[in-house]
Amino acid sequence: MLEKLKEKGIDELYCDRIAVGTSTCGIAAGALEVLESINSTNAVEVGCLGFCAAEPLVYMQENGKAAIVYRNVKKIEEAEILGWFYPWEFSPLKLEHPDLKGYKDYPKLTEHPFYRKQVKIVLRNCGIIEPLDINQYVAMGGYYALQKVLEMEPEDVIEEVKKSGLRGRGGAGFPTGLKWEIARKNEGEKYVICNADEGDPGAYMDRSVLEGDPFSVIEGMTIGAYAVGANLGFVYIRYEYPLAVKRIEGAIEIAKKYGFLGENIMGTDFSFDIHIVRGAGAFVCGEETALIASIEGYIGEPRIRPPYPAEKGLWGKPTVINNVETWANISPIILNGWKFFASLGTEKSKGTKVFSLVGKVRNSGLIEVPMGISLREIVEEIGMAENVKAVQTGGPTGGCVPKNLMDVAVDYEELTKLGSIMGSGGMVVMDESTCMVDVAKYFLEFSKIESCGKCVPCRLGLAEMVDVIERITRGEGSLSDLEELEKLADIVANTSLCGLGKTAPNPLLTTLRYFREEYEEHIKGRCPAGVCRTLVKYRIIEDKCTGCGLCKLNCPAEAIEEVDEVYRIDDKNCIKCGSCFNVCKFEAVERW
Amino acid sequence: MKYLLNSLLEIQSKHGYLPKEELEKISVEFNVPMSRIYSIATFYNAFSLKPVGKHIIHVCKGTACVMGGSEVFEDTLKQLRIFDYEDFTYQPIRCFGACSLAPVVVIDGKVYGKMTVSRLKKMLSKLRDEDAREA
Repeated sequence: MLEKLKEKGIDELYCDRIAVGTSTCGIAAGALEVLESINSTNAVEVGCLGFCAAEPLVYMQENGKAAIVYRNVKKIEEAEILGWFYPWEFSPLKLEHPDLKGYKDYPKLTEHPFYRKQVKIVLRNCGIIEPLDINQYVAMGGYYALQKVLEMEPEDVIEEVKKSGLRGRGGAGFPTGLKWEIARKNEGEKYVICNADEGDPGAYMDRSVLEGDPFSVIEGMTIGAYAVGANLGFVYIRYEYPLAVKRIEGAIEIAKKYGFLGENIMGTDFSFDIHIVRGAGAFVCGEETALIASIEGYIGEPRIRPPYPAEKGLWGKPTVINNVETWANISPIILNGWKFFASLGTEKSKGTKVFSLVGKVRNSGLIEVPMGISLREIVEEIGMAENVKAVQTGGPTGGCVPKNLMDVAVDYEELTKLGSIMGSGGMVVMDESTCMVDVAKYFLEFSKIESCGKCVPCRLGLAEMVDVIERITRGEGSLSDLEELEKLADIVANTSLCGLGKTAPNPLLTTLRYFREEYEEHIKGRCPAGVCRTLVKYRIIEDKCTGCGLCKLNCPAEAIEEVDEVYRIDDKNCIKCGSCFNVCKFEAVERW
Repeated sequence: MKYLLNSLLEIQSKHGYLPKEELEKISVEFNVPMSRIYSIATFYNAFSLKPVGKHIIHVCKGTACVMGGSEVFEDTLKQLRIFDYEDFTYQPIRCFGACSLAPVVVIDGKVYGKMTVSRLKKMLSKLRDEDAREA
């Protein structure tokens, strides 16, 4: 059966086609307008190739030739060529494909700084296949892993995953195979859950996988269910991702139609179904026990562990809960063998990790790199960032790694040593225009708002910390406030129940550790980056003002008025947001 | 199988908020007391117990967007007195996952990347004027 689908898929993948990346990010950049403008029956919609800064991305395959990628497309005839590639070459799997001719005159996509160091396992199909086309998924090696697994003993499947060294990609890094083994050993009804409540601001790899390659998650979950002995699974997915919800719903229906899901999967006596529960906008529900409470129909308050979900999870039954990226890793591990996976990465962190590289970088986007790569390589070589001040890793409860420590190898242990965490893989690059105190304040505020309120230290401690740090950003702090913050951070981290409270002080602690002088400057009444509103003032230099009026157009407070063909800031109305400073092309706005 | 959260989200998207009568029906259907439904409705950001306006504006307050200056859009909304109009509802959201297009604003379900104050002013004034004309 797979062979037939594969044949069709190969025909579809390698015929003449114009592929437009229409993931959420692509759409926001105007991909649907581009799609509409392409007057051809060969136009298809694919997921995201990862290079967000170049979106809308479109690639063309014609006359038995490889794909040519165009970047920042408005009209395809006028678009700049990014490079060319073979549609199969990002996948780690051995794939059947026709011979396509390459190009000599254009650069190879895999040589582009953004792609050069990438190794794709999780993102192998994203941007290549039409997300809901099962033929194409099979042609890219899909469902061969499940076929193989169904002929294996469940224990052997678990052994394979254990040996691969795969660790949970949601952040905590618990060994996946071990989790499965614990659940396997427990008796009775069991469940598997896909945690798609990707709440970390600045991280969107799970969204991209669900939108671009939903079958890979479903196949991974089906394999996991077979290995642990579950017949029902859940995808818990945040409602803020409507397209991803639509795609995973669609993929579940199609998988059922083809017998890859439902009763008697692929003709065996194994049955497995997946239900979707949508999250309703609570960051804490990314924590596994809170997520389980949420599926059960309660507010998302974490529960005490142990018992861990693998022993006692959803409705008190053994439950394996892994995140999207973890599930998407499963089938390549099965197909290529654990050695393939274990050969990548560091001693304790195997395989690859997807990061969303955003902030002050030229090449922003989703990247998948082997564990152990240095932060510097990611930020400077892939991201081509200049004047980096710090990199924030691990989402709102991660930490800020300063420039001089960027040679750190990126893996679970090394980042923890620096006071940060791997988290789900958000990576926000900051430059001199970023105020580190303001950044810490932002993350503390985030955690304060998202704290579920169950543990007093997290609920009240974070609120107190926000008060203190706000005082500092207003220039009203004192040196004893810094000690106060450290003390509070210690209490919150050590006395909270779940990961949110335990890690929420990280941004504060790392910025205090690496950028203490910035805190001290604020206490003296100065914000070196010119961000904290109470500590800055703006003025327009008349001699430099050309009277273009851009500042007035971009002032959100009606604080700019025209006087004799130049503009002037009215201090009474000015909210010191810096909009005028940022938009002025003539450096006519002065900040001090 | 039906799940409480899914059913509540459906009601929210159908009515734009959670009307009490609907919640009472849910309470019976799921055999869950109203007190628990109230706790859920007030815990999760997606739910509103009050009707929302015709236009929903989200400003993304995720890390990349805030660093890209999205906070100034709230000031813009204030300047345009958007909060005085019943037809407009403002809800900050933390991350749509379109971080490389930061700062992001979502108006009536459409995502707009690389937003500027002047563009936002134009778009919202247009919406407001259109509504006024219709009225």
